[in-house]
Amino acid sequence: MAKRPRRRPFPVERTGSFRFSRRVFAEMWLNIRRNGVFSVACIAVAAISLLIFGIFLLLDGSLNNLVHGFEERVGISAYLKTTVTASDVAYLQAKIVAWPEVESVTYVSQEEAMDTLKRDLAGYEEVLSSLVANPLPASLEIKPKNPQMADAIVSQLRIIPEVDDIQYDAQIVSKLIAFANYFRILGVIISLLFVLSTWFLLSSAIRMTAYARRPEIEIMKLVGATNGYIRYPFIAEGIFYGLIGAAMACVFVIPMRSVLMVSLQRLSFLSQVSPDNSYVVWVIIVLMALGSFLGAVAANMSVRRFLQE
Amino acid sequence: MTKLGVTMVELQTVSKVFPPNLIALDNVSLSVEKGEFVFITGSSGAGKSTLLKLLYRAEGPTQGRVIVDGRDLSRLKINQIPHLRRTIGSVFQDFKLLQRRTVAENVIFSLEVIGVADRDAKKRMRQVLELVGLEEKANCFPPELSGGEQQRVSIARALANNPPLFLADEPTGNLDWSSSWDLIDLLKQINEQGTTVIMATHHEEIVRKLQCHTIVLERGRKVDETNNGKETETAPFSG
Repeated sequence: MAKRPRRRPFPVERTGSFRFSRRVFAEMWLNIRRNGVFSVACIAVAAISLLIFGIFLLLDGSLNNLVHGFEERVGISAYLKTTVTASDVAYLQAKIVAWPEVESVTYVSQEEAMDTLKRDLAGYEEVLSSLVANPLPASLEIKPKNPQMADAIVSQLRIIPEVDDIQYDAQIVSKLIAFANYFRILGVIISLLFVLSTWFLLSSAIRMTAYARRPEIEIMKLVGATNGYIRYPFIAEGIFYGLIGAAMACVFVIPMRSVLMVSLQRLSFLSQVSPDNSYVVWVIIVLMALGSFLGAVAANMSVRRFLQE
Repeated sequence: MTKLGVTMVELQTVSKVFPPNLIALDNVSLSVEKGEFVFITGSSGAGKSTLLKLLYRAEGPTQGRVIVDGRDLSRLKINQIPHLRRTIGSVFQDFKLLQRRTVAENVIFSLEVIGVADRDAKKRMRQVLELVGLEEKANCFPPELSGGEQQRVSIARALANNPPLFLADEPTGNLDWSSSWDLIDLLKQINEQGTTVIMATHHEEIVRKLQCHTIVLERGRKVDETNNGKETETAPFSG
C-alpha cells in the first residue's frame, strides 16, 4: 500500500458560521423540493389558518373600536322636577357622586339645556322664538364608571323623588360588550383549531423529510455531527413553511382591512371603527411571528424523535 | 504496536439490562491498551454489539463505569457525545453507506458534517481511499461495488478523521472468505499505525489465526480472556 496518512491530528480547518448557514439553507431547500406537493399543502394550510386568525384579529380590533366609541358616549340623564331647589341639587349631586358605580355627576340647568339646544339647532333658532318660557327641565348628567353599571345606577335613581324622568343609552353598549366577548371566545376557539391543524401538518411534513433522510441522520450521528447541526435544516424548513404561509396570509389581510373600512365606516357615526395602520402592522407582525414559531416548534418536536435512539 | 501500557478502553463491572429484564451484559470488566488489536468473540446475542455500543455511547451502562481514552462516559454530557464519536471510527456488518452518493462523496460527507472545510475534506478523502486501495473507485456508487469494497469504503470513512480508536462490529459478517481476510489485513495495517482496534466477530478461525488479545463473551458474561500469550489463561479453542 502506498503513502500512509500523517499521524493524528489531521490538520483541518474547521469551518465558520457563514458556511454553516449556507449549508442549512441548501439542505432546507433540498428537503422542501423533495416534499413537493406536500410542501405546497403545508404553506397553503399555514396561510389559511393564519389568514383566519388575522381576520379575527382585525374584526376584534374593529369591535373594540366600536365598543370604545359607544363607551365614550354612555351617560345617564336624570331630569329633575321643576320644584327642585338649588340646595336640593347640591345635595343630590353630592349623594349620587358618592355611589361606587358613578364616575362623575354634572348639573345642567334649564338655561344650559336651552343653550345646548340652540347650538344644536344653529341656523334654525327661530323655531324656538315662539316659546314664552323655557320648557326644558334641568338635569343631572351621570357618567358611570363602566357601562355595565348603568342599570344599577338607573334603578337607584328611580327611587329618588326629585327625579322626574331618566334617559340612558347604556343597554346597547352592554349588549355590544357581551357580543364582543362571545365573538372573542369564538375567535379564539376557531383560531386554535386552525393553528392545531397547521401544527399537525407541519410536523408530519418534517417527520416525512426526516424519515426520508434517516440513513444520513444515522451516519451523521455516528461520525459525530452535533445534534444542532442535524436539526437546524429541519427547523429552517418548518420556519420556511410558517413564514411563507404568514406572508401569504398578510397579502390577503391587507385588502381585507380596506373592505372592513368601507363596510364598517358606514356604521360608524361615532368615531373611526376600522383599525388604524399601526394595528394592521401589529397584526402582520403577530402573524409572521406565530407562523415561524409554529414551524420551528413543530419541526423541533418532529426531528427530536429521530435524534434520540 | 505503539504506546503499550496506556489504557484506551476500560470497563469496570459493567452491566447492561434492557427493560424489562434482558441482561445483555453482566458484570463485565476489561481493559484495552493503546495500540492493541482486540477481538470480542461469542455467539450471537452474547453481548458483543452492546459492548461496542457502550464504547461509542449509543447506550449507557445500567451499572458500572465505561472509560474511553481517559473519559468516563457516564459523566459525559449529551452534547459531548458527538465529540467523543469524532475520536472513534466505527464500521458495521451493513456498511451504512449512502447509496445515492459516490464513494468519494460518502467519505467527504462524514468530514463535512463535523465541519471540515471542503479543501481539507477532499484531500483527506484521497488519502484514505488510497489507504484502503479504492482510489480508482472514487466515483462509483456503493451498489456498483462488491461487499468487500463497500466495507472498505466504510473503513475509509471511519478513518477519515484519524480516530485513535477503531470499532468494528462483525465487519466480515456480509463478506466471503477471501474478502474477509483482505479486510482483516487492512485492519491489521491500521492497527500497525497505532490505532487501537476492537473487533467483534464470531469467526473463530480469524481469531485463532491472529492470536491477539481476545475476550470471549457468553450470554453477557466474560467467560475467557487470552492476551497474546501474556496471560496464563489458555484459549478455549486453541485446538
